[in-house]
Amino acid sequence: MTALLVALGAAVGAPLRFAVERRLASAYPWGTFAVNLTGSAILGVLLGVLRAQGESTSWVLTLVGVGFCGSLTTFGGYAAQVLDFVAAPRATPGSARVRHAAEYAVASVLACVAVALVGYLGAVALLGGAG
Amino acid sequence: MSTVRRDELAAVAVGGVVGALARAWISLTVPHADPVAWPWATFLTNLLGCFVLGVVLDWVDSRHADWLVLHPRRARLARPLLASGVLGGFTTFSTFSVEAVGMARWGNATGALGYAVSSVVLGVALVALGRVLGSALFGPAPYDLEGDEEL
Repeated sequence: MTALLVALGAAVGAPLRFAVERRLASAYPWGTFAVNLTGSAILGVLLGVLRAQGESTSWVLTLVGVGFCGSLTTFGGYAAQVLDFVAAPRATPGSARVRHAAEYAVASVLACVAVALVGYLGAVALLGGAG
Repeated sequence: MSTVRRDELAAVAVGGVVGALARAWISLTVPHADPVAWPWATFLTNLLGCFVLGVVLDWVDSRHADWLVLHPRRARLARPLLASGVLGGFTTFSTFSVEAVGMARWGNATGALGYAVSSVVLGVALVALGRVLGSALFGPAPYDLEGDEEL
């Protein structure tokens, strides 16, 4: 049952990530940034809702959290893009390439952690749990 | 240029299911019950995925020109299936984010910072290591940095 729920979520999440990345394809990896942000926010909200309801686990968490959000977001793609900034063979000076890589790396983590936290706390506050 | 073909989406879906099931299996095998504890399952999953992704990207890049001529379908679908699909579905950013939040929230701010920084630094280093190993194994790849990255 767990496997089926994970598979269903992933069968939607992974292609959705691919489509968003393709649509937002540009010199900057906005697509990956967007899906990582969205998935982190949804998972934060979901955990907040479960917390407010006093539940620690649920089939919804397996389907939406592990399957959908887990596959909508990607850590490998993110890391590969950070490396691409560093390895860019353009006429960009090395210091600028490292700076761009560091900016993308740090901005992704800070933004995703922030939306996950806001989503979690927001859901708990709205639904009146203990946090 | 931004069109998405149906067979590409299908390849990503199939690969994504395989990757996600492997990730879920690891998370059940190495449970993360205590929110302040180091999230070993996600940590190791993401790092392993980064390393394999580096190797796979290099292999696909090194074969792409040949495949375009001999196996056009493989040239189109290898990257969506393996990189975007299997390894994109295997690694995860959302669980990483909420685990860092959880550690910080329940009093282990140092651990959260260490988890975030080490995941990112080691992840990027392992993609690079995978790329280097891939180049050694499969020959030099035309490292197409101008191309679309869809992972």
